[in-house]
Amino acid sequence: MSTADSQSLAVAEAAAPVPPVSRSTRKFTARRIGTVPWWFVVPALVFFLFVVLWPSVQGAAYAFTNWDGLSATKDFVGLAQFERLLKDPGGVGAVVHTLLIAVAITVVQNLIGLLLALGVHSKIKSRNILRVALFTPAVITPVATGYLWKYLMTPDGAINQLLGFFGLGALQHDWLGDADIALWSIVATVVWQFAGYSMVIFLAGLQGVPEDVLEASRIDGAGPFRRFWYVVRPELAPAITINLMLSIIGGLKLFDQVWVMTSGGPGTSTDTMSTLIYKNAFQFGDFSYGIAMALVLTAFVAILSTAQYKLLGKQGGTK
Amino acid sequence: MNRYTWRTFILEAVMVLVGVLFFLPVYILVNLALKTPDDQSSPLSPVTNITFQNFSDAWSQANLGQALLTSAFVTVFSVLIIVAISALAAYPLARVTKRWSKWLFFVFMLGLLLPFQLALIPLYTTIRDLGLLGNPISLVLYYAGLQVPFSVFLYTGFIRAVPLDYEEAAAIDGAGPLRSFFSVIFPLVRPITGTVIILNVLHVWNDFLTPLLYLSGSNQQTVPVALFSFVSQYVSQWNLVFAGLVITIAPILIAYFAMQNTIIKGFASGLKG
Amino acid sequence: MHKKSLLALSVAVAAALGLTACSGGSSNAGAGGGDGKTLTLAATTNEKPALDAVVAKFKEQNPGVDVKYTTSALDQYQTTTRTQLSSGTAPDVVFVWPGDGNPMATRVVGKAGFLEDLSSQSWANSFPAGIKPVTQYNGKTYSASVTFSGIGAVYNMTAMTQAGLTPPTTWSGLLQFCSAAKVKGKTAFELGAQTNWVTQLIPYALTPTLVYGPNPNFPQDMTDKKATFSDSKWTDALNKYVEMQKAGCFQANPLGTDYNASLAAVAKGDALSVVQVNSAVAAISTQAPKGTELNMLPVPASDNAADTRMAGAAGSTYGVNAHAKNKDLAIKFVNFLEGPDGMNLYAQTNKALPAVPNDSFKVDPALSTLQQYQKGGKTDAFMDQNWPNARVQQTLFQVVQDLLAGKTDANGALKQMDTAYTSGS
Repeated sequence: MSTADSQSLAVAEAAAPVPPVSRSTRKFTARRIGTVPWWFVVPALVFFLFVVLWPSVQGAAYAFTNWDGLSATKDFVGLAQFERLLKDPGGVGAVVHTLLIAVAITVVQNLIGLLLALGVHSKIKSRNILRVALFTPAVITPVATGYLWKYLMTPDGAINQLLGFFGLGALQHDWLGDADIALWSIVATVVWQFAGYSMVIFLAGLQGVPEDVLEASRIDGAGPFRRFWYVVRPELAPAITINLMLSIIGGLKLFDQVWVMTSGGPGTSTDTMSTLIYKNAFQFGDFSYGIAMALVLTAFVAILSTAQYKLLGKQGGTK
Repeated sequence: MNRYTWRTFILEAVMVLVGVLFFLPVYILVNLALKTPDDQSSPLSPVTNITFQNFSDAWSQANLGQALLTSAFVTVFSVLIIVAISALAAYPLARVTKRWSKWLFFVFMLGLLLPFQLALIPLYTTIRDLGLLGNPISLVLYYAGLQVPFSVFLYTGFIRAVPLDYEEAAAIDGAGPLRSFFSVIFPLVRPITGTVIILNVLHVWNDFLTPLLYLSGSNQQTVPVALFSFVSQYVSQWNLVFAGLVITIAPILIAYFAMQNTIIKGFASGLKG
Repeated sequence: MHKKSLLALSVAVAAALGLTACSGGSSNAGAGGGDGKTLTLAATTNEKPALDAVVAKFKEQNPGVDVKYTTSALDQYQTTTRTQLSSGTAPDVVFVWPGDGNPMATRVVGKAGFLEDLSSQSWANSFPAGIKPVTQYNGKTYSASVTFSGIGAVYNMTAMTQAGLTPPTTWSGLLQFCSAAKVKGKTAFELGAQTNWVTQLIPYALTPTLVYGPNPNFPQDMTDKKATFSDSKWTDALNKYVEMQKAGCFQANPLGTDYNASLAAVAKGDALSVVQVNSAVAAISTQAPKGTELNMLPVPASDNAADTRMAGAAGSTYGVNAHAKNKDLAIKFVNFLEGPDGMNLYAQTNKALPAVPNDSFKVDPALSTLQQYQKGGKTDAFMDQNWPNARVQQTLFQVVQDLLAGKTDANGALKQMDTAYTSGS
């Protein structure tokens, strides 16, 4: 589609009148920045408004009612749902779990993803097959990987069998049944699944690293760390920003794996904001309260991801 | 061109080991898919008497043939739209430094943050009013909108990193914005287009709740819905489910494998050409 | 130029959409329905085998009629069906839970006005006393229960014989049974407490004997705020749960074991029994070696065997969507389910008992004890069917896991349930 389009567009372009120079002189001197027409965003904006933004605004209104998600009637209750939130003892634990998950996933997944990307962006013979093998987990639907790992993590499951086989019996655990480690078992599952996802984004960034500069710095005697920091990292900046943003948002909104593996248990030890929203909105018949929670989660994610984005921006992360 | 040194060999050995570790759970998945349901051996021990019964059962019971078609249709068209509109939108967002551009970028980013529960019911009623329930077009529309923020985000980041020199050269040649977009920018960001395609295909292909909601009551189902609808909560037949999973992830893996070389080559030619 | 490129894009989009319109069109016509010939129905996946059977029979008796049914897992079922009901797009017949305490329960959905009043149907008054109330809201019948299900200990009798043990009939006998099983290297009661709904089964099995049998008015007393969980014999039930754990009745890691793993252990004979719903009988027998004999028996809670009662209640239940497109056909289908053909076929396939006991039903030998208790009036409804909101049951799941992890005690657990009970909505 893109080739056909660009051809027809090229024709259209040739026929189009050249915009009067006078209008854009000011911008022209600024290396033509700003002459990209605003209407380029219109098609995307239309879809986005129709599917995401407007329905979300409509949906957010439920937070100020007492709708149960079913009845034909609902009353306006103002901020009552948000007041309930303040007194909800389950809420605090869920916030803490959510933060722990998000931080752990963001750090570990990206570190592993970066190392994997550097490893397969090399001369090794197995790089093509490895790129597929390492990415495979990301292809499987999260619900299924949740089930798979739940199966592997049973007390006499494959993981404990393997540990026993290698004489590491002391490391065997009841991975999901022990309230103290269940959260980390879920994090491990998510990292396993999405490290390859981060890798793919890093790989796209690595394509821009100029080979000749890398080679020159190698000849100049720069070690691998200096080469990474001064040559590779600046090129990777957009990939780093994107990966960090995606994993922090993904971590804060994590639901499928938690739901499949523990449903928030044992007890409340793995309840996250997403599982609480779900339970309230669809299991307790307390839809409006669930929506109020969802709004709070949105604010939460917005603050954290903006902070992180600004932080990276300062480092020159986004150029 | 470059030599294969002993350092490369060590890296190779380490990476292969890591690859094996990562692949182990997938091996177990495939292994179980090949075992008979009454095979009580450890999931780690390789299958001794291979059965393909699970695959044919999963195929017919879940009606996977029809589901693959529906999923392929929805995935191809929504991803085409997503790529077209997101790349186009990202161009001004990355280049224009005026205030509206920054704000618009943040509005799009808001889309990444919003939990799906907010839009669930209002959007459902809209789709109902449009008469699109039970029709896969509803899913194409839905994903085209839903995945815009994510794709715009990826594109914007990468277009910002593309040096302005190329566009300047094109501008000096007399190219307008549309042409410099299609002949300069779009080829230059080919690696991220590849990434956008892969990640969006994944999301659309694997999504579960939306197709369940929008296509329920029709004859058409997507792969995950078809797969999970025959799994009973009380009588679980994991061998069968895993076989079904293998069938459904295979097309994506093959496409990814075939595509990654094109993406990388495409980039090289984009730079030189 | 700008207009042209926009046009190109919209043409591409339109072409894409046009293509689906063709492929989607034909099926859509059928689903939109209202033609009186195509019935739509939705249920949870557990009902699929039974639905396969009854739908085939229904179509056989009603030539020219088609039934389109969708099944999905419990969580997805609740989410999608509530969304559809509130948007007026729900199928003609919907699976509902009996009584209350669940977002898709008869009284919740009936109260919201989404279920057709079925009081005038001939079967509406034929239910036994234990079932009738949970099909009603405000004295009107809103749902049709097809099966009766119960909770008990499902024993692998083949493994029991090999171990030289017999099922206990008293509480002290039960504790002895646990230690005897341990000596033989077997788990007495496998517990899949990782799956949250499994956590409630042992309290449900014990409280009929401890709470609801001695005081049948307990649910009403709770409604009238004259009784609370923490102030009742529920304390005994939860303490006995903990006592069982301490006596080694369960395997080492109940919280790391899920429902499926617990059944597999009984099927293999590593565990001698599991406290479960009757559907587990079918699930275990499909996994167990051929010829394995299973039996579902009550779980004793006192030392007087004659006091022992079982939890037994309305099982699979259906309602007719008040805004159904094919209301007549929907009612016809529900009437078929309530007729002797439909009900017995459904119960037979689902390995349950029919909601209305009848002599033509051939009971599975493993369920004959449950049937005797049903006929003898020695059963009490599943407790959640009389709880005012879904939070109580979810709290029970959570506190039992805390209890098994040693993070709370019986009193603390029940206090949380009391809070949930009074939390309104």
